[in-house]
Parts: sequence; C-alpha cells; structure tokens
Amino acid sequence: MENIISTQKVEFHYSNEYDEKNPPKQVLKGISLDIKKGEFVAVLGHNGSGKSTIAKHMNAILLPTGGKVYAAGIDTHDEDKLFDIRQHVGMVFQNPDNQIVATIVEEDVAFALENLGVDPDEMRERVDDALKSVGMYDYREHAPHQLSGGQKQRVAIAGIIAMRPDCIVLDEPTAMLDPKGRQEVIKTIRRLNQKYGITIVLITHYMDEAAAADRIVVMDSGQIILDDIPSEVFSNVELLKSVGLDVPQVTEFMYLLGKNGLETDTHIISEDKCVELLLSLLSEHRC
Amino acid sequence: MSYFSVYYRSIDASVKMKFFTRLFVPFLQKRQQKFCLAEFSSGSMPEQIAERKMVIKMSVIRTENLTYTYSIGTPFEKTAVDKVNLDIEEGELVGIIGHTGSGKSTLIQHLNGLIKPTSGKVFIDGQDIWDKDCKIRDIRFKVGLVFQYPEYQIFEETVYKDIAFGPKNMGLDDDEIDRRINEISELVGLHKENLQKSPFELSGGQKRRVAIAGVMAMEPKVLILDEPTAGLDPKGRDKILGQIKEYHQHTKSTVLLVSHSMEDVAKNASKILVMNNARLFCYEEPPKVFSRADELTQMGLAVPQITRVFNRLKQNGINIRTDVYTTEFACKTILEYIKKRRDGNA
Amino acid sequence: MLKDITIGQYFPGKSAVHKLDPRFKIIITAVFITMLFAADGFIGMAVSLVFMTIAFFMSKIPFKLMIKSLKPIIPVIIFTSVLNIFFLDGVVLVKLGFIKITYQGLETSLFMVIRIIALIMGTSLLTYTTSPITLTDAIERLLSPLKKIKLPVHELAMMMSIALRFIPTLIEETDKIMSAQKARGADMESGGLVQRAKALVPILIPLFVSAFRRAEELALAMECRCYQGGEGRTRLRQLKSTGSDYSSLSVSMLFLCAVILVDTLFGK
Repeated sequence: MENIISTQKVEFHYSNEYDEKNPPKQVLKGISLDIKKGEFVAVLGHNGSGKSTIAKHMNAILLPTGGKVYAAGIDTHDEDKLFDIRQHVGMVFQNPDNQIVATIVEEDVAFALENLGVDPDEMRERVDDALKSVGMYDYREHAPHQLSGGQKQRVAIAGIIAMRPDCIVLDEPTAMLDPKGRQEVIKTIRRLNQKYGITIVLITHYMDEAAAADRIVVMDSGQIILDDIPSEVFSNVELLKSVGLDVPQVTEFMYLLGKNGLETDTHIISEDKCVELLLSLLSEHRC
Repeated sequence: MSYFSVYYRSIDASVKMKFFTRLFVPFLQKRQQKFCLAEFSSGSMPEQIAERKMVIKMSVIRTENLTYTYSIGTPFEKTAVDKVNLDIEEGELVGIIGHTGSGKSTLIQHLNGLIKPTSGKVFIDGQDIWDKDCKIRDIRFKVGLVFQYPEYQIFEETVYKDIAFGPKNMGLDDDEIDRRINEISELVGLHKENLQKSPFELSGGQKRRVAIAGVMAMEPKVLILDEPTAGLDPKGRDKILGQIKEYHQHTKSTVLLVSHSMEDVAKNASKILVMNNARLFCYEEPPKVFSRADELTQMGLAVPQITRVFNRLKQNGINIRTDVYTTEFACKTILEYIKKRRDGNA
Repeated sequence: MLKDITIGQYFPGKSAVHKLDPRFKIIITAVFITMLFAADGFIGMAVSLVFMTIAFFMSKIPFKLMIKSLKPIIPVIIFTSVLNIFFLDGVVLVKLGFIKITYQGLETSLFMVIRIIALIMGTSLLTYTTSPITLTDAIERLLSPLKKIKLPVHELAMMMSIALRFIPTLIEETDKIMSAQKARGADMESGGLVQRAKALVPILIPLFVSAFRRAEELALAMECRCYQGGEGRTRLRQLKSTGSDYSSLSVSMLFLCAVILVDTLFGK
C-alpha cells in the first residue's frame, strides 16, 4: 500500500446546517489528496480553509458527504473497521489538556493499549518505548497538571505512538504552546518521521513549521491551491498573502528586493541561503 | 525623590536663562511626577534658539524595586519578579517580551493590583496603589487587563451585556454604558447585529474581540493585553493587532502588549520592555533593543529572522546596520547600501 | 491560592503500609471500623487503639499530620461530649442549678469521643497512604463482581478517575477566571448572601461552558484511541497481592477477635 491516506474528491458540509432555503455551506469542495508512506506533509491554511476538516476525515471522525476517503487502505465509511483505521492513523489535537485521560503519565500512554486489550507485559514494553521516543520517559510517574504545555503534547503523542500507527495526523498541535513548547513538539515530530519512518500530516498555520516538511499543501476555502515542496510553495508570496498566510521573513525580503529590481531568488526560505545570496549580491557592488 | 521632565519653549531669544540641571525636589504631595530641567549656560547663547516644546510627560506607571516571591519558606520558593524598576510614560505602546517564566505575566498582574508585591511599590498616576487611602478596585478600572484566551471568561446572555459587565461594575449609568459599547464595538469590528446575539454563537475570533471590548469599554487609562494573538492564524493576528493600534491612536491611552512574537512587537511598539529571569533587562526603543540581538538570542528569545540575517552580514564584514527587524526596512537598508556603494564607486 | 488545596491528602512514601495492596487496605480499614463499633468497653477500645497505633507507626506518617486530620471534626467532638456529659442520667457528680454532670455522662462522652477520633484517624491513614487513583482502582476491582447485576462499575470508576485527573486543572482554570473577572471589577467579597451568590455567576458559567467543551474534546480523543467501554479492557498496573497483604489482613482479623473476646470476658 503506497498511500497511507487517499482522499478522492472529498466534499463535506455539516448536515445540521441543512435547510431548504439556505443550502449548507460547503466546507470541503472536492479535495483529492494522497499521502505516501513515510512522507512528512504540512497542510497550511487560514482558519476556515477546511484544513482541520480534512484532517478529521483521515481517521473517520468525520465522513465525507461526497467522494471517498481511504485510510490505511480501508474505506472510512466501513463502520466495522473503525478501530482498525484508528490504530493505523492516530490523531493529536490542539488542546494538550483535553487529551490526557489518566492521572499519571504512563497510565495515559497505556490508555489506547488498555482499550485494545493488550497483554500487560507487552503493554509495559510499548509504553516505555513510546515515552522514550518522545523524550518523556523520566516523567512517567508525574501527574499531568505538573507538566508544561509542550510536555503534555508529547505525552499525547506518546499515547498515539503506543498503538504503533503507520501515520499520525496532528491538528494544529502547537497553536496553544509557547515557543519553547512548539520547538519541542516539532522536534519530536521530525524525529518520529526521520528515525521511525512514521508518516506525518501536520495541520498548521505557522509557516516556519510547514517549512520543515517534505511537502506543503495549501488550502483556501475548501480547496487545495498549492501542493509542492516548501521552496516552491513559499515563492508564491503574493498568492499566499492573498489567502491570509505568512511567508518566512527571508522569502518576503527576497521578494521585496526583487520588486525593486535586484536579482534575487524567492525560492529561498532559509536564513543560510539568504545570507549567501546577499553576500554575493553585495560583493558585486564593491569596487 | 520626585522628578519632573520638562522640555521648555523659549520665546524670546534675548532672554537669558539660567537653570540647574536635575533639580531634586523632595515632594510632600501625593502626586509624583518625573522632573528634570535642561541646562542653559548663561555665557554663550546660540544665535537661534530653536523652539522646544514644553510638555510635561507623566509617568503613568512606575514601580520601585518591585519584587514578588511565592511559596516563601517552602522548598518551592521562587522569585517571579526581582527588584523591577519601571517608568512608563503616558501614551506609549509598550511591547513586553521575555522567555516563558521570565515574570511577564506576574509583572502585569501587579500593575492592576491583582497581585500584591512581596516588597517594593507600584505607582499608577503617581499614586501608591497599596496605600491605605487607595481603593484597589478603582485601580482595576484605571488599568484594564486582558488575559490570555480572554474568550474563556465570557458569561453573559448577550454580547451587549457581557461588554457592559465592566462599565456596570464601575457604576456608570445606562446611557453612558450604551454610548461606550457602541463606540467600542465599532472600534473592534463587531457588527451591530451581533450585539444582541449570545456570545456563544460567535466564532473564536469574534468572541475574543468581545472579551477585549469588555475591557476597553471601561476606558482605562492603561490597557494591558497578555498575548492577544495567541492561537490565532496570521490573518486573525493582523486584525487584532491592527485594532489595538487603532485603539491606541484613537484614545491616546497607554497600551502594554505582552507577546512571544518579536515580529509582532517590533512592528507595533514604540518601546520594548524585555524581561529575563524575573529581572528587567531593558526598556528601550525597538532599534536599540534589536541591536542587541545576540543577547536576546541567548535569553531564549526568537529574534526576527531578518535581524539574524543582518547580524550575520555584519559578521561577514559587511558594514551595515543591524537594528533591522522588518522586511520593509531591511529592503530599504540594502537598497541604500547598494546606492551608497555605487555612488562611492562612481 | 486555590492551588494549595490537595484533594485526598495523599502523602507519598515507601513505608510498609504504603506498599500494601489497596484492596486489602480498604478491607482492613473496614475491619478496624468494625472493631471500633464492636468494642463495648474501654478495654476493647484500648485493643483497637493498639492496632491503630501500630499501623500509624508502620506508615511513618508524622504525628502532626495525624492530628491535623482531626481539625475539621472538632465541632462534632465538642457537640457529642456536651450532649453526653450534661444530658445523660445517672450518678450525679456535680450540680449547678439545673445543670448536672453525671458519672455515666462523663464515661459515655469520653468513650464516644475516643471512638470518633479513632474513626477519623483510622480512615485518614487510608487516604494518607493511598493515592486517590489507586483507591479508585481498588474500589473498581472490589466491586467488579457486581457487574453481574448490571452495576456500571467500570463507568463509575472511569468517571471518578477522570474527575480526579481534572480537579487540579479546573482549580487552575477557576483561578484564572476569577482573576479575569476581578480585572473587570467583579467584587466577590462584599455584600450579603444574595449579592455574593450573584457574584459567582461570572465564574461558574465560564467554568461550566469550559468543562463541557473539555468533555467533548476528551471524548473525541478517547475514541481516537479506540475506547469502547469496559469490555475487554486490560490494565497496565496490575494489583498483585503478596504475603504481607494476607498477613496484615490476618493480623487485623485477630485483633477484631481479641476485641470481641475481651468484651465478653471483662464486660463493660
């Protein structure tokens, strides 16, 4: 199975808004997206673009009103296979507090395994491994309220890792965290992808997080408007700004210089490349 | 000690004046103002004495060795605010930055009397707020504080009633309250029809604006906002910051903005206050603060990308200014540099 | 401020009592309570107290804390003693007008007071040495045979455990909401009963709304981790009973027998 997730022309509206006179608002207008095994994909978009909605389709929290979604090869409409889907595609949400169920960290990480009836000895091993992979093993006997936001999110991620999923979807996991917490979480996600080969789908509106991904999908008003590698995506400075998104400061800088007639490259998204280019640009104007 | 800060206008060039610098006047009055007079030597007179405006700038917020320690006597004892001496003038838009745990949130809660200092004093408009003659509740109407995720404090049946909560507690009459609510909702971009809706029907961003409006409606002399853009997307963030800036210009009040985003603060503040490990690191204009990028980075603050780029250019031998923190100014600086070089070579 | 309230008053430690299986601790506590009510006279009571003292020593809980647990029940103690000292009939010792103090009154009052104190201290020992979640676990397992009569044991235990998990979080949130409303001029200190009750509305409503929202999000997160009720669930933490658990239980049973014996032998 090449594609962990495959959404085919997915349409979606909330049914409780349906009414004869006012047709319901289409939140998703035909999303076709394939996520390959081992990829790190970022889905970027302003609030209301539909990015969280498509994320919720990936593990069958929502079912499409039109089109199909295949998660780990299983049609999400298949009610019997719901838990199979959720074991393969885990989900981490925005609010770190509202995902932690137990009073002690390691018990929370074990929650999914307890639900699945896993043998206690195997459970112990998997819980310890999961905690180590997110760097929270030393906190295994702590209470959740003693942890920082970033630590809580890592515990939530560990709780999903314990299920040994193929793919993890994270819906704006850093929106409520401080810069330190954000860094911790993004570092953890990258390690999970690079070291353990777990497919990552990161929903975010922070472009510096998206810049770390292999591939960025930009959404606006329920549609995909860009789907490419980061440097290509960010070079579309005007388009991104028009849909209410930011670009990295260095990219915007390159863009402004370009508009003023200088030879720059708007595919630059990193500080290093920016400095490099500026040095060569400025040295041209020395005597 | 009391000080006055006075810039004075000289009308007649032939008038010779003689003043003392730094006149220390021990004040017996309760009102304290910053005081320092400029010196003019009586001997030499410039041909034209430029007009200087006489403006008395008041310190609206002043702290003296403000310290707060919690859990005193237990193994968890910690000083959250350590001997902070602050002097903020009226009308400033101050950005407050600092790593998590640096004391920013604790500091601002001292300014409206929610927290009582372990030692040290807080003066609002020259008045010691913990003086027995001063009512703390009045200070809370003078210094409005908007917490993080303020939308979680909404409770009334309608948007109108929720915004009215603060003004009502102030004892204002209904007409005045009505006037204020209409003015404020326009300022924050809330449509009239939303006023009679239940706040729980609104979107997250709208709820936040309702909550902020609720504090603005008290027409405080000082408005403090703790991370007003937390959790918002770029569009939402720009909107809120724009509204805060408009509020500041419209009311000419003092605004304090706590933020983790250096870029946000850089674009909007007239002065930046940096907290580090419970201490005040500096309180200066943005260019001066950003020229200390290395120190800021060491403190764990994310200096804007563009500032880091310019610092690295300087390290590589390019003679260029490093107090750059917006892309527009960066572009301007580079273009100027190139032009200067070209002219130099011409 | 509110953060200083610790629910359940659990004091972690590594004493022999801490390490006992919580199910056994609950049963032993029940045996102890039985002892206290089975004792008819002071000698029987003394035997129970010996048991309690041994237990306290083994738990290494500081004496100061033990006494602290009595603070809330001081009014009850005073009330009981007064009731018994002044209103019980019997041999009169002191008479002041129509107020009389009898020998039986003093005796009974002392006995009752000792019993109440022992009751509180004994049960406090349970909560001091067992964390709330461990207690909940133990109760769930002890009650699990009742599942057969359709008692929702797992659901009740899950509710308890989630409540325990969120108490510190909700206390923190209440603090924040109170600060935010105070910053808008809310006054929770002044005024009569009605006014103070009204002043709670700006605190309770946001708290409730937030609690419901949390519940929804938590339920979703639980479903994403394949929660499907109590059927087929295994547990990470296994409760394993050891020799010391059985021997402790046996000792407590022996003391209970001793109390009953002593009373039959020596009467009152």
